[in-house]
Amino acid sequence: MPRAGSFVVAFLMSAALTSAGTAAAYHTRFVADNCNTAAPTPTPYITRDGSATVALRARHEGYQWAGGCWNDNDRDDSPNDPKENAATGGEGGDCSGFTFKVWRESLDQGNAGFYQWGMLRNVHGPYTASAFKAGAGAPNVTVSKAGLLPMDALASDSHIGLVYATNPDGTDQIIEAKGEDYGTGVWTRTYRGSSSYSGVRRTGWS
Amino acid sequence: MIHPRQRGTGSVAVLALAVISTGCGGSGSPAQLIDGSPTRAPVVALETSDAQIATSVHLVGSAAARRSRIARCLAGASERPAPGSIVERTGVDGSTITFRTASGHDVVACDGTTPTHPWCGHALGHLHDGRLLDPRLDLAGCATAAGDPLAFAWIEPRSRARFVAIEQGGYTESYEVVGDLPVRVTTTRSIDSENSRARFEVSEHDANGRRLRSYVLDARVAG
Repeated sequence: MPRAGSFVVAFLMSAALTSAGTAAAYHTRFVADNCNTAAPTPTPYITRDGSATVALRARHEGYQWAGGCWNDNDRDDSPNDPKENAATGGEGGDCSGFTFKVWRESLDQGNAGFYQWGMLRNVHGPYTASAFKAGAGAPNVTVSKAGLLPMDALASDSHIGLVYATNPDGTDQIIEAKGEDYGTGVWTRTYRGSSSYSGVRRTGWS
Repeated sequence: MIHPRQRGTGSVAVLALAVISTGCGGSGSPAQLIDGSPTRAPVVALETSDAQIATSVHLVGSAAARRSRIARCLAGASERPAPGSIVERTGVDGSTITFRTASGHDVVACDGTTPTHPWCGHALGHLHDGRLLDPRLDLAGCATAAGDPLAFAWIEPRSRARFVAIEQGGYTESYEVVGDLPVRVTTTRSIDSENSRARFEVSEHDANGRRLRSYVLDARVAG
């Protein structure tokens, strides 16, 4: 191969490798191809069992920083997204977006009503884990960790998970959108014993 | 996410215009910061076309850190601050504390409005190789006295930047870069509550006020 041609090939290969390794160049088509902006359906009440069902549909789906859209095929359709990148367009919620949807909250922080968001509605909501921890917003209050009920939450300044069940030894099974490396699922966690975590409750359960 | 908007040129004409138009308290510019102190022009006029208001900034010492409001911020964090890393800022619509944690892994913010009100928002950002990957937008909890939404986010200026300017619609707020920390900025503009995001029109300036770069930070609530 002539020297000029070799240089061009080497340059193109180098450019391709550089692009592949750059987080800013990474994106999936999951949100663009599957998600919508449909309005939520107001509902007159919610139950803890009903919210557990909503949460379980997200199990085994992915995790997306600032995300809130998933299907129910039990696999992450956009695995290995770069971390803490809101623009990657992948499947799943993050911890606070997942909680917002499962608790069927309103985008209006002053509204404590119940709103059913479709799985494929791409919505995150106004609350970070830290905001949930502080009980920000009309639907949310802080509660004692000793008195938590199923589908109440344990929140720190960087994460929030929902109490799904209690193990025989008293530890918690938490349903949560954990991170890009883990996706969304149910795991035994020790958040309740950590001073970083507080109890949070969505008000108004039937 | 950062969108390049315009490169700084160092234009003398633009700088002259900026100096001429720097007149706080007039033509729609706020007359007071959120703590009631009168607004003033930045010591260094920035290369922007708007009237300019300097936000106040203090590196908080250990004695001041025991003041009740700052102490409440520190008490709410799960980790103590690194020595000499607490920065207090006061702008037109908001006041903030930012500090790096003792472990060096995170930065923490307390977001608020007037000094007589408790903190209304908090943020924690993980540092990756010393930098944030996300601006940690805070839209929940804080509002202006008129009830309008208030957004807080961190800006990570380039190493040469000594000032960060935020376009506020008719005037620009100038934030001095202090302590090698990200700069916690505030806005009431371009907040999209429907999509839980906010856009910040940002420019970064060197020690002489010359614009280094301008961009739009499109921040989303996350994590």
